[in-house]
Amino acid sequence: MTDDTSMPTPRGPASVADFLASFDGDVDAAIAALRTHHDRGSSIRAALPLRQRPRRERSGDHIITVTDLRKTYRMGRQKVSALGGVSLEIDRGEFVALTGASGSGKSTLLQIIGGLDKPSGGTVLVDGVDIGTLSDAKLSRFRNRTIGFVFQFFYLQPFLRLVTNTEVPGMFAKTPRKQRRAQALDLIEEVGLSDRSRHLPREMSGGQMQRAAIARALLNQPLVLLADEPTGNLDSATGASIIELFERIRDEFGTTIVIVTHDDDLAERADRTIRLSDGLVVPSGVPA
Amino acid sequence: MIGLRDSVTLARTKVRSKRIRLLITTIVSGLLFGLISGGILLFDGTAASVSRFADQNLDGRYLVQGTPMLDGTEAFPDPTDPKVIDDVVALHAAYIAERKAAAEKYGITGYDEKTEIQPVVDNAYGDPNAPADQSRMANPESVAWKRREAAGIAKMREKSQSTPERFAADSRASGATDTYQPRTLQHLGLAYLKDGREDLTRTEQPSDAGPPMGAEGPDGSSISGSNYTIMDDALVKAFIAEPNDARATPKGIPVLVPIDDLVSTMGKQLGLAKRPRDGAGQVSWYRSVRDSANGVTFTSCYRNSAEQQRIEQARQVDAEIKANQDKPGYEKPELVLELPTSPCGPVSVVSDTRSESEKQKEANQRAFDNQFTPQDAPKAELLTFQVVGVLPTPQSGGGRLESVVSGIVGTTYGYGALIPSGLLAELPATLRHDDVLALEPAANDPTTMMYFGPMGPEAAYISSFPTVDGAKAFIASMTCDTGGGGFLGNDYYMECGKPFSVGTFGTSYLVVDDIARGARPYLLGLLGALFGVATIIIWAMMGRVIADSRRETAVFRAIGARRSDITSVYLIYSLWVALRIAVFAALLGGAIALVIELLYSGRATNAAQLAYGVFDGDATFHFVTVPSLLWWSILGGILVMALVAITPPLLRNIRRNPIRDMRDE
Repeated sequence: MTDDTSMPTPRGPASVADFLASFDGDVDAAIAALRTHHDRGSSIRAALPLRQRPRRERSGDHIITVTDLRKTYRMGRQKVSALGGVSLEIDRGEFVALTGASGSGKSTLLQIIGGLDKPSGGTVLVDGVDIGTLSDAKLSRFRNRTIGFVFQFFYLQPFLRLVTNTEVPGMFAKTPRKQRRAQALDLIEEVGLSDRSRHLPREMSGGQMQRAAIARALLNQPLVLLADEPTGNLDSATGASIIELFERIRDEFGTTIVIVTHDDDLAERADRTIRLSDGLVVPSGVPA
Repeated sequence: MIGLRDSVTLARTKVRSKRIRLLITTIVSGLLFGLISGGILLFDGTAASVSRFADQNLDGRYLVQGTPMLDGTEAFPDPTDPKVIDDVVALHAAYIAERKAAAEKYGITGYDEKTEIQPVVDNAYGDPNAPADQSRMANPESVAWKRREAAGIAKMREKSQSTPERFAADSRASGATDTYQPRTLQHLGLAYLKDGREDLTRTEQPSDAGPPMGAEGPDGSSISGSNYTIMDDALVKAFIAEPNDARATPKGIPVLVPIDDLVSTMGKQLGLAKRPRDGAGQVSWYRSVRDSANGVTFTSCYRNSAEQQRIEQARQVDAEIKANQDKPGYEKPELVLELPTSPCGPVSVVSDTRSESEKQKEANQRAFDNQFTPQDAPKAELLTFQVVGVLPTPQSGGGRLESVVSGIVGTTYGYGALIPSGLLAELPATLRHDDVLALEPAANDPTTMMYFGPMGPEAAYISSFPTVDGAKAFIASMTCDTGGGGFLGNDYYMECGKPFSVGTFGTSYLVVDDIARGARPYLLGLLGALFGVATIIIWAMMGRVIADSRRETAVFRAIGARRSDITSVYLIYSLWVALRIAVFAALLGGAIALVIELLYSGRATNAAQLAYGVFDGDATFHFVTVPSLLWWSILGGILVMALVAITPPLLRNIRRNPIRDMRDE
């Protein structure tokens, strides 16, 4: 800490300022943080302010209940187990981060919870509904009404303006045009893109596109927002702002948010972190 | 399911992606379909125009002409056949007996049967090594042979099934409404009086036994060649000109003259222009000739064979006197005839110094000859014709287009100058010359038969059908199965029991119909091939686009789209693409047809007007017509084909696990 020039170049003066401002005299913790920063290069951490408020307590009202969830893929003649019997509960309004190394099964878990993939065994209850029993049409409706998806690569329609892109889930929900347009505009304002509502995706930055994708995911007022590496394609500052947006959504709408991330620092911003390793939930307290 | 408007919104985003590929596909397949579209428009337009002209020409009637097909084996036997030789020898003996009896009856002295043509001669074309009894043949020049031939013809006619009544009955059974019987007058041998003067030096001598050889006349025209046919007005009305002042009062036998004949015969007299070379000028030329000739009269002379012989006799006497009158001691013949001094006037007797016994002897000889070759009294009559219309003739000039149109649709009367029977009947009796026009050629005469066929001058029958199909059915019912063979002789018709040889008459509607129907399978084949190529292109493009849309489909599914929603979006997309191609093809095809229409309609109209003799009203040859069902089917087919094209990849897409496609990204 004595030789500033040996420190990795931070993302910007503001980030450095934030870091220094958060220094509370614990030298060992600061050195550990700096080492982590050095090791991860463009880690988001340097750009993130330290947690400003305490984690929320769990309500005990489970909106998602996963029991002994298993998922096996067949790769040629070999069977690969992606999930080996995952059980967990997520409370209504909770902001949960699923972390783990690549191949740990976190994305698979997210996709099964979102009804995009079928489990090989076990059950998933979302808002009391066992989604494994739903027909394809009902599953579509479930994804449309109960779940909002946010992807790493945004997946916006390239030739639709922002406001229309935001309306797409409403189209599948057959929401009246005027109503969904009003909702879309509100959400666009909510995510801070009012001045971009008439823009095409190619006219927006990555962060703006992700905000737009979040607005789209929220159009049908889902109970659960599932995000798979939502900041994986963004720079640190933008990623931080996206996380802030998730927090605000959770606070304002009471939406349950489950994100998949590699980034432990980002996961720190969640109410709870569930770590997976080799297709299993790592009990809390076990070192990574 | 997602609303239509939202489906369109999402489908449009697909249209806006892969623009270059879509543009190339639209252009290439649009060009192919455009060619198909244009081809159909032109084909249908041409067929409709031809059909319209044919309808106007004959009021929508379709004519079939039949000529009798008779068994000629008895009438025209093999002269080397021993039985025939025996017949001829027997007939010759009977003939000689008749001659002897007649000679005795009329006091003809010195009759020598050896002067008669012998009934049997050596067969110059036979095998020189054959036995003597096998190297002889009946002599076709002998009277005995001709008698046998005449008897055979009479027998053939008597046995014939090829009667007008049979033709009328058979054709009516196939739906014919009327039957007509044109009557040719070639046997009259009328001599055209050019500039009102009679050419008495004609070498072609008409006879009651048949028409003069070279019936087209010295200038090749039907007028100078006495090639007239009386035909029902209904068959020729398209060519009858509107009456003008010259026709206010009928002045002669009404006649429709082939335009080229009119120009060659009376062109100078009437100041008629020659046929122009260009297509456009032909119609105005036709109109000009028709208007100039309408009501014009000309005269022809009828002389029967007896009168012709007197003309010849007078010419010979005249020549003899002129050659010898200055010679000392020359004495003129006892009977001196004078050539006619007025057009078609009679031969007059200048002097006849023969004794009564000589006159009696000549009368006896005439009576003797008449017994074997009956001859009427000398007769000469001046016939006046009045032109009431002009028949177009196939043009040899003009451009390629005109030749093609003329060749395909040209009228084919083939009867020379035509006398409308209705107008003829309206004439005063003094102008009608019934006594001449009603004359028949010698019955059962081989020469007559050679000219007119076995049934004489009324040897063709024409039936009118209200539909092409009716006409075709009748023709088919009257046609022998050739088994792929070529020319069919009479015997073949006899064997297959068809008493008439039938074919279209007037316009070549059947050719047009056959072309239209016959070409249709080829056209459809060609269109099918083009359709196939275009289909493959569109299939490939659509399949690729849909396959490339797996991730998008997966995203839609992730945010709540049902399979039906995805299907709706891509159906709209494919219809959108297909509609663009169809519109492009329709516009391109229309443009092609329109260009052809603008470039060639005028020339084709001229050619068709000439070919059909239809000049009034809206007689225009259009290459473009109201699009047919086939045309609409092709455009509809593009839409259907596009829908079919997207179905397999789309089904694969919506059945796939969305996550798999998102992972593949």
